[in-house]
Parts: sequence; C-alpha cells; structure tokens
Amino acid sequence: MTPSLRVKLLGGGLLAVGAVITLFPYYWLAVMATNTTSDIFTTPPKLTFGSHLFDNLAEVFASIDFFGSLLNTVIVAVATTVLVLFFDSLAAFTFAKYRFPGRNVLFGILLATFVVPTQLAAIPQFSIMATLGWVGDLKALIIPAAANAFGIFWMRQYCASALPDELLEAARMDGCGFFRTYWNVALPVLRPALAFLGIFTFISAWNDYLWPLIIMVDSRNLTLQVALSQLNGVYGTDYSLVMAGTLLAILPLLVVFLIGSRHFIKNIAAGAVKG
Amino acid sequence: MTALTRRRFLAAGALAFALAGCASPRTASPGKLTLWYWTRGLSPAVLDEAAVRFAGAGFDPANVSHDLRHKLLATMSGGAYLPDMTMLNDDIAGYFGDADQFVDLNTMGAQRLRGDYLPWKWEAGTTPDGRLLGFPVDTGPAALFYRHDLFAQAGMPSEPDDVARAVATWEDYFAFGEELQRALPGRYLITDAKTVFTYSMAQEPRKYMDRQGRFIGDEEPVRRAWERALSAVRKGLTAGYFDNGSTTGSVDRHAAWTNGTELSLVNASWITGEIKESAPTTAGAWRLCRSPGGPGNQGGSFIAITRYCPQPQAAFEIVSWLLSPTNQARHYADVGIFPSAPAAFTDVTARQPDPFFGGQITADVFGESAKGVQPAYFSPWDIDISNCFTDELVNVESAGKDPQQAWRDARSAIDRLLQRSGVL
Amino acid sequence: MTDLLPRKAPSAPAVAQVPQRRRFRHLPQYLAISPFYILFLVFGAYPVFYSLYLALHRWDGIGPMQWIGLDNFALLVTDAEFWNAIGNTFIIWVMSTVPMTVLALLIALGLNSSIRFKGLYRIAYFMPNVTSVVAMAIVFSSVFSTEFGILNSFLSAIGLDPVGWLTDPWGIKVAISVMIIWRWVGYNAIIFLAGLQAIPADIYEAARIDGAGPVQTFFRVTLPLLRPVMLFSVVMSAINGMQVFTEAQVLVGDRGGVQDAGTTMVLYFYNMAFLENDFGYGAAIAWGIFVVVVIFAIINWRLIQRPERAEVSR
Repeated sequence: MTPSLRVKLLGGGLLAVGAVITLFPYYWLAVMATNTTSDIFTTPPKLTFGSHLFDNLAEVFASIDFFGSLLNTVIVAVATTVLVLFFDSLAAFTFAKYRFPGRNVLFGILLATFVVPTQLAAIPQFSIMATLGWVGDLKALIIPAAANAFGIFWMRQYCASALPDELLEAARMDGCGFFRTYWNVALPVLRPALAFLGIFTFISAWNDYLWPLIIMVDSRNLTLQVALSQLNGVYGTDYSLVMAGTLLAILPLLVVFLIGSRHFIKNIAAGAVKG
Repeated sequence: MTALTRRRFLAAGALAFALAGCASPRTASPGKLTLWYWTRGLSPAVLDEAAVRFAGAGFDPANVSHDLRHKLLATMSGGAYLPDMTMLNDDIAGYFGDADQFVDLNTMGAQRLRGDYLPWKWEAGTTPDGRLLGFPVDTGPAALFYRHDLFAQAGMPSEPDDVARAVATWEDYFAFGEELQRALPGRYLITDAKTVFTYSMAQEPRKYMDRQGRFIGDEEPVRRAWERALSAVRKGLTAGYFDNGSTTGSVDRHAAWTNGTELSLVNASWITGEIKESAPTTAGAWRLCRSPGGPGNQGGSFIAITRYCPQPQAAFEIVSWLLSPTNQARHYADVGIFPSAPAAFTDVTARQPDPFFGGQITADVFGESAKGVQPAYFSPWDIDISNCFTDELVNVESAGKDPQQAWRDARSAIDRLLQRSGVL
Repeated sequence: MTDLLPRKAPSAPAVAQVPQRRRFRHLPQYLAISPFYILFLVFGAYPVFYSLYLALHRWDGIGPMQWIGLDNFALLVTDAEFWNAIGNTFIIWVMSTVPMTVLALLIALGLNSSIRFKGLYRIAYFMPNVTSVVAMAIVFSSVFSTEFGILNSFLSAIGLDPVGWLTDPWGIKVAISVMIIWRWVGYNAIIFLAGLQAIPADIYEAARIDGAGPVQTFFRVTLPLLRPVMLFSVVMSAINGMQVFTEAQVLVGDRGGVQDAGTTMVLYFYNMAFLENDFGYGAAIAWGIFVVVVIFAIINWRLIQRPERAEVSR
C-alpha cells in the first residue's frame, strides 16, 4: 500500500465517521419518534426504530393544528421569498448599473444597516405592529423582511460581474425603459443568483424563531417553529409525541433542500469566494 | 412609457399592501368568548361541557400553556388578540399594577359567591384597593409524594401514617432519607435544593415583602428555608435534576419518575397530573402523606376577565360556573388541581379513591394541608425574588458554589430587581 | 434618459431630453431602491431611535411610561448578569468557532481529494445548516440529558462517568457550542472547499518541484491562499455568534441554567424585555449589545486589515 493510498483511505474513513456523527441526531430523532415515551426513558436507551410512529403522529395531529401552522409557514416563506427576490434584485441591479445622485451615500447606509442588531429594534417593532394592528398577523412576519441589505449587497456583486454593460446599452438602443431592461434583460441573466438567494431566503424565513415567538400571540395561528415550541411546552410529558412533531416539522424543508441541494451548495461556495 | 406605469403600479401596490393593514381584532376571536388556560390547569371534561353549555355565548377555550404569561403581556401591550378570559398563576400580584386591564369582578356580582371560597385565596386575587382581579381556581396544598414500593423494599416505614410520623419535621425527613439512600444506592430522596427551599417557604406565613413594601427576605423564614435547602444538599439527598423551567425542561425528572430514581417529593397537589402522565408505568406505586414541616401552600391559579371582553357579564357567568364548588371537585378528580372552595374538599367526586396512589383518598391528605394554611401577603415581586434565591441554590447544588457567596449574590440580584422596578 | 455605467458618452443622452423631464430622470432608480429604505425607516431606523427613547424610561409596555433618565444605563454597566452574558457569548463563540474551523478545514481537504460519494458527503454535512434550530435543539436536549441522554449512555458503555451536561456551567457551554459546531461545520467546509478548488494546480506543481512535502505544502501554500475564505468564515461566525439565542433558550431555558452559564446577550435581552416585560431596561440592554458588537466589529476589521496591508507593502 502506498502512503498516498493509506492517507486516502484514512481520509475517506474519517469523512464517513464525521458524516455518521453529523447525521446521527436525525436518526436519533426518528428512533424517538417511532417509540413510546417509556421506551425512550429506559436505560440503556433503545436505539432501534419502534412501531409507534403512526400513533405518535395521530396524537400530534390531534394536539396541534399542524397543517394550519404548516400553511402559515409556507405562506410566510413563499411571500417573503418572492418579495425579497423582486425588491433585492431590482435594487441591486440599480446600484450596480446606474449612476444617480446620492448613490454611494445610499449604498453606504445600506451597508451600515448590517451592524444594527435586530434586537435593538425588536421592542419598538412590537409597538409599531401594535399600532398597525399586525400583532399576531402573518403580515408582521412578511413585510419587515420583504427587502434586506444582505440580498442587495450580494446581488449587486453578482450584477456587476455577470451583467455586461454592452447588453444594457443594446437594450437602451432598442428603446427599453429602465424597468423593461431590468425585467427582460437583467432578470434572465441573474437567474442563478436568484435561485440561490431564493432558497437562502426561503430557508431563513422557514426557520425564523425569535420574532415569530414574540409577535405570533394567537396560540391558534402560529408558524411551524412556534407551534413546535408550544407542542414542546404543552405536551412535554409525552416525549415521543414531541419528537414525532419535531420530525414532521423538519421534513418539508429537508425535502426542499434535497431537491435543490446541488445548486444551493454550489452557490453558497461561490458567494463566499467571490464576495 | 409602459414600463414606468407598470413599475409605478407595482410600487404603489406594494406600498398599499404594506400600509393599509386592516386592524387586527381586539380579542382573540371576535364574536366568541375565549378562555386561555394551560395544560392540566382545568379539567378537559369540564371545559368540554362548558363549551356545549355556553355555546350560545360562544365559549371557546384555548390551551396556551407555559407561554401564557408572555403571550398575555404581549397582547396587552399590543392591544390585539386578547383573550376574553384568562388563567393567571400565583404571580397574580404582578398584574395588580395594571389592574385597569381587567374587569373588577366585584362589579359583576362576585361578592355574593365570596363565602364559598377560602378567605385567604379570595384575598390573594384582590388588589390592595379592593378590586377582585382573579376568581379563585385552585390552591396548592403541599404533601409528601413517595414511592411506597421502594420505601418497603428498603425496609423503611411505607404506609402513609407511618411515613408521616417518621418524617414529621424536615430534620426527621432528611435523617429518614439518609437511611433510605443507604439501602437504595443510586436513588435520591428528593428532587433538588430548590424544592426544599420553595416548600419550606410555602409553610411560612411571612414571605419576602411586608404590606408596606419593605423587603423582609433577610429575616428568619427565608434564612431557615435557605439553610434547610443547603443541609439537604450537604447530606447528598438531592438529585439536582436539570430543570429549565418549562415542561420539557423536566424530562430528566420524568425519566427519574419512570425508572424510580426519585424516591419522594414534597409538592403541591397540581403536580399529580404531570406524574400520572409522564410515568404511567408507576401507577399504584405512589402514596401521599402529610408534608414534613406541616401544611403549606405553593401556587394556585385564578381566572380573570380582560377589559376588552365585550360581554363581561356573560363571561362571568361562565367563570363562576367553571369554578363552582361542584366543578372544582371535578377539576381535582381529572387533573389533580386542588379546590379553593371548601365544599369541594368533601365532595364525593373529589374523594374518589385514586388507584395511582394505591387507592388512597388523596383529597383528604391535601384537604388537611389546605385547612392548615395560614394567610400570607404576596407582593408583586415575590416570584422574582424567590427565583433569585433558588437560582443561587441551583448554583450551590450543581456547580459547588460557595453558599456564603451564593447568598450575597442572591441578595444583590434582588436589590437590582427592586431597583429596576422602582421599589428601592 | 438613464445612465449606464460606465458612461460612454456622458452628455449625449442628456441633450436629447426636454428640461422638464430632467428633474425626474432618476426617479425610476430611486423608486427601484426605495423599498429597502422605506422598510428600513419604518422597521429599522425608527425603532432604533425609539428604543433609545425607551431606554430612558421605566415601562412595562402596558401602563404609562415613567421617565428615569439614565438610570437604566447606570444599572446596565454595573449589571453583573449582563457582563456575564457578554462573557458567555464570547466564550461560546470561541469554543464553537475554533473547533469548527479546524473540522471544516479537515472535511474540505477530504472532499477535495479523490474519494467516492463526494456529492453525498456534501449533502450530509450541509444538512444541519438548513434544519430548524428549534427542532434540533429539542433533539440535542435529549442527547445531553443526564438521566436518559444518549451521550451519557455512551460514556457509561465505554466505562466513563456520566456528565451532567446541562447542570454543569461548562457542560452547558460545551452543549451549546456542540450544537453550533454541528450546525455550521458543513457550511464552512463547503466554503473552504470552494477556496481549495480555486487554488490553481500549477502552484502545487511548483511547490512539488521545489521539493516541498505535503505538510509543508499545506502550511506554506494552501493555508495562506485560503486566508480570504477563512476570514469570511470567521466574520460570518462572529456575526452569528453574537446573536446566539435559540440553542441556549431551548437547551437550558429562559433563565440560562446553572450559574447563568447559558445566558447569552440576546437571551438576557429577551428575558428582560419580553418575559419580565421591562421594556425600558430591555432597550438599554439592546444598546449595550449594539456597543459590544460595534467594538467587536472594529477589532475584527483591524485584525483583517493589518496583515493585508503588510502583504500589499511587501
């Protein structure tokens, strides 16, 4: 055996061990979700799947409005993603390709908003939502997130490198106005960046916890993450039920991720290396 | 310029969407009378019956559980999605400052029912200026819960009367525990230092503040409870389970109940439901007896009506029906919350033998404790102050912190708390 | 009408336009960028300034506000719990970032070699990053449980004493850090991998010709060239590290566990503002966090800037 082969085997082995450790919590979750609470509490713990998954799931559906929360989360994630993609790409395109008075100052302000911690605004935001009458309303989750500095900053970098000026010049010659140039010329070119920003926004909106926890006060109108935390609090004595709910809550997003993973992972890397 | 109009249209649309929010309802479900409660806070069967009985008024109970306080404060400051009725816990005094957010139940005719309830409980729901903010739900008489089978296995007294006699004082209880643990290594007499402190305080008529708003936590009752908790730790009698304050935070404890690591606990009656639900396999192995150190009360809840409730009188009808002495007996039988109406103590429903406790009539044990409770004054800061002490006891127990330092830190945390609240 | 960058013929389009339109000729651009600024003004800037006003009051969010001047800030700077929260946040940040960076680098090196199932590994390592923190914190709390936790069972199985992970001040920090590492190691490995793949092969070739061994090549060639990517990863982890909340809240609860070992800055803020409903003090804490983050950002920026300048001058 050559040294390089040995290194390769060792490396491969370590990677496999690492992957097993990384995936173990998912397995453990599935084990707990398919067993009864007393099985979970035995020592040493039961490490194999049980046969109680459907009992546990039935109890979850009886205990919380799972599909209602799922629907809310889908609404929030989709609406946020569509708005972010539109507003961010439009602003990014403008910043990257147009010159107008105050552009640099405005962009500087945009960058400065990065350092403002979100919790600084959380208390007054709650009062604002109260004034607008949005407390407990999905709008309170969607509207403030509809455009963000990160997306604009990231897309601007992408626009600058991916959109040749000649293309825009040609569009102008053809008589395209500003918005038409954006819609017909820039957007198609930006599609890979949009896909990445879209998945990224969708995942963050889906998993958002602190703000929904504060603002979604109506216990029968929750997002999935808050419903999960409530399930945890209300039915804490039935551990296998909590675990079945947890499993259900992570599955939809895992499926979305597995479908889009190749593209997403590639772009995560590209974003970091270029940015 | 078609593009311009299209863009303008889009921008205008987005703005309109953003700004023209229709006001959300003041109460959680308009046209209905919502009640927020928590798991095992009220009997599901009684709530179901109420939902049918008061269907005309739109009675609509919603389980909000451990988030209730946070959600209630949030809705009150947001002025939206408020429940019409809500359960309040033993921190009710903390709401007295915002009493105008609630209906004074005396104006609904609560006075005529006053005689049916324990006077000290009624007092606890009344603000200093005499508004009745919370209608009495349950009380928290303390008792000793213990594993009859394991006590017997260790060759120790195991029948309720014998155990009660053997653990008359906390000192007796600890001595008993040391012997017990020698016979049953790897198991613990009691949950944690916090329990000892909390239930010692539950037996004291003087708590943390006096009616003049002076801090009295430096005095004998608190010091006694503190020393007692430390002594339990020093003797190695406490398991020190991790408890993060929420129901799931107690999973270690649930596991310990299931596998018999926790031999006994001093607790109020309201924990009965949690034990039954989380350790169903131990049914029949538990017994109850008088708590070491005598009667005490820990916890107990109320129901209040918020000021946004459009039909306070109808809501009051529901509340007084839900909490009538007869129904209190049913709450007790179903979820273990002990009545605040003495007539319910002797109600046949409440006095059903409980197979989970080997056929004991549990209401008699708790009833004895409830009758011995002395009235006490609770300030709005009592829960927070108590948390300052128990947080430090956890530090001593789990992290080996120096007890002297822990006491000093607890005191300075309390000073800061009172300073922030504008009391000092 | 509109200007493209770079301007090819600066004056030409302007001449063609009627003067009246000139005033509005940038209107489309302003409109295009306006949504972010409008939203920021309403939900960002205004609340930030309002929170400063709030910090000067005692307010439970319900009753009337009471002006107390700088009392909240005076309390804050002497608040041992707040300083403890700052310390915890930084300790957890270090305890998670250092092992995470090393592990991510190892994984990236592994993925950069010619092994099988690369695509699968990438997905496996990346999965935690897209999984809900709340959900997995619930799972991790059962992994770390003293009484029935899988980790303690494993320790007992190999003959070690069980550890009270969530009842020990350091155990708590370890548990939170492990969750953060678990969540972010794959993400950073992917980024490092991209950095590794961006290194041209001829540089390695040149190193090989110069007689450098694999270890030497790694430290002399690979690591320095990975520097920008690693800095990106450290900055990202710093931004996230200052915001740690969910892991701590779900694992050890709102009160932060034994000796407040799990109280991070944001958790302390959440406690005071939304659980104790002390909105004034909460706002003061938020400003305290802001100051800490800014100082930290400046230090970070200095550390990044200095060696780069040295490189340029070389």
